[in-house]
Amino acid sequence: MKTEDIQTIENKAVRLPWKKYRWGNHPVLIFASILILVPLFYVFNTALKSEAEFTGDILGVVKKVTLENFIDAFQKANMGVYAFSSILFTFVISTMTVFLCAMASYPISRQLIRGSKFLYTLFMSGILLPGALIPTYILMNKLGLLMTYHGFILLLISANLSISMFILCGFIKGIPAVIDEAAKIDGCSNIRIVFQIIFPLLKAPMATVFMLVSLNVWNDFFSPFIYLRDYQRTLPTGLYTFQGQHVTQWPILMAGTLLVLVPILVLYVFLQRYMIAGITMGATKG
Amino acid sequence: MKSSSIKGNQWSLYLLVLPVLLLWLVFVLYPALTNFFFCFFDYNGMGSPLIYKGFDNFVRAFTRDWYTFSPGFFNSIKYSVVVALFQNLFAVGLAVLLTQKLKTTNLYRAVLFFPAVVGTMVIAMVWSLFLDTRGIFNAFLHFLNLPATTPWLGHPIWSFWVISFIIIWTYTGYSMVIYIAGLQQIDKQYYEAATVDGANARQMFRKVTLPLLMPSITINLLLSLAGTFRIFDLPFLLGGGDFHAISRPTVSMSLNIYYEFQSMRYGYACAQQVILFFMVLIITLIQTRVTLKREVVL
Repeated sequence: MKTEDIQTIENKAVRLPWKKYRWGNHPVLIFASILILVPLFYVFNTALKSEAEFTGDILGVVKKVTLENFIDAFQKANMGVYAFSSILFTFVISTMTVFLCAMASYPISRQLIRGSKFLYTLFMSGILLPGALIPTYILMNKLGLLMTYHGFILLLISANLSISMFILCGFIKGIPAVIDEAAKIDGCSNIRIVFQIIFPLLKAPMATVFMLVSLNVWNDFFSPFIYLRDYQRTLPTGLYTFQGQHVTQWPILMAGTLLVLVPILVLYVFLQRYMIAGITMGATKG
Repeated sequence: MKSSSIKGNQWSLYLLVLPVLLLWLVFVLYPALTNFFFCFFDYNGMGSPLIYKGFDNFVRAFTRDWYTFSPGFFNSIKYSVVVALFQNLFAVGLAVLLTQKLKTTNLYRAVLFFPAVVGTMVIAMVWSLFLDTRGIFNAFLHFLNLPATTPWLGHPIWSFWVISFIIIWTYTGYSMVIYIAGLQQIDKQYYEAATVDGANARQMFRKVTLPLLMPSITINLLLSLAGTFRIFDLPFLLGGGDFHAISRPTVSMSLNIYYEFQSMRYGYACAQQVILFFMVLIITLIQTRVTLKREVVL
């Protein structure tokens, strides 16, 4: 077969499915998007209505925007305290997880210490290990860590270790070993290699881990519910407590919900590509 | 490469690993292991003595306490099958639509993925507002002059399906993104070859896309089956929370474990956790056997 013949085949017969623009795809995708967006729209819509307007007209778009519900959420539902805990825990736990894991991932993924491979397998098995609510609770109690800030922080760092180690170790393997070996030959100490050579190169995966752990901590409803007292709890858990007391005060409840939702939404609008990649990293690489 | 020739002072390297290792051993491995110890004992809270019971905690779940154990047991199976099936069907469909030439792919992808970013509490609040007896969905039905008094989340039959729907709503975008990544990895030359051979779109999907997408299907099924079998947050928050009896039709195995924990029956709760662990193990082993067989080696 001559080259021209192949050319003709490509030009005539091959009409590849992704080469033409498909208008037919839009109706399904728009329907799916509406299914996602309408519930979220109603959170905003309800939070901005006054109690009276809500009971009078549940469905309609808000006519008179009021911020009263947010003030009520802070006054009646103690959202200020919960918000403070949320911010504090999210920041402290994410930062500590990132630094501890970044430090540990260097010797392990470069196999610089005895049993590196075993340690790596050990950490990875954490992804599959079953959650153990009761033994963890008993342990926390025995160590005197129940209802304490530091106990909660240590527990949540541990809960996020495996996935963080997975991401960081995976990334270090991609950095040429020549870089840190050269530094070592020049007499650079291990600690300095980690902090001055590896850390700057790890900025991107460290940011990913920070984002991932932050989301986990910020959204975690269950751990604060079990391991913390009411006044120590974070926003999602505080919201649950408040919901139990004021079952159908939807406008205030939605204002509280927005306090959890809006920070994520704002970040998501700007960083969605990066967040999607980070969150699915464990599944797409493994 | 092992750099044995240029090993400096070793202890500092061990020091770097030590904090993470300690935390992991104490807060991850130790609880996971002691779970298999406590499940053979009767232990009801702090300070009380451990009483050895052998396998009684396991026997009990399937005999004496079958009445309280079985709803969660069967519901977990139902949840994981229903959710895994529909979540993956929808996710594959949407992923295929999104990998074709569309200018707005990123926008759709961002919108559809969003529920996987917000936490379970927000999802629960949103859907409580919608599905409450006097919520938005019933108001909408009323607007359409349809019967509008169904308590969707407290209904003996509907509530299970409603919560399954909400789980699917939450995680379909997540599966979809994994499928998109899988679809983008398929080499275009297979489609070109199929087109030359005169395959139509349906044949192409069945004979080219599906077999080559099998790795993504394996991981997605694994995540959705195992994840949903263990589900706690959404059935707990949407199905009545701490109020045990109300949430019967929606209760899952993890919820049962939590209730036994609340009732201070620690040994029995640990035994249920072990049952849960082996159920997840069995389900994932069967599933990976089935799907791995279908993965094509190129």
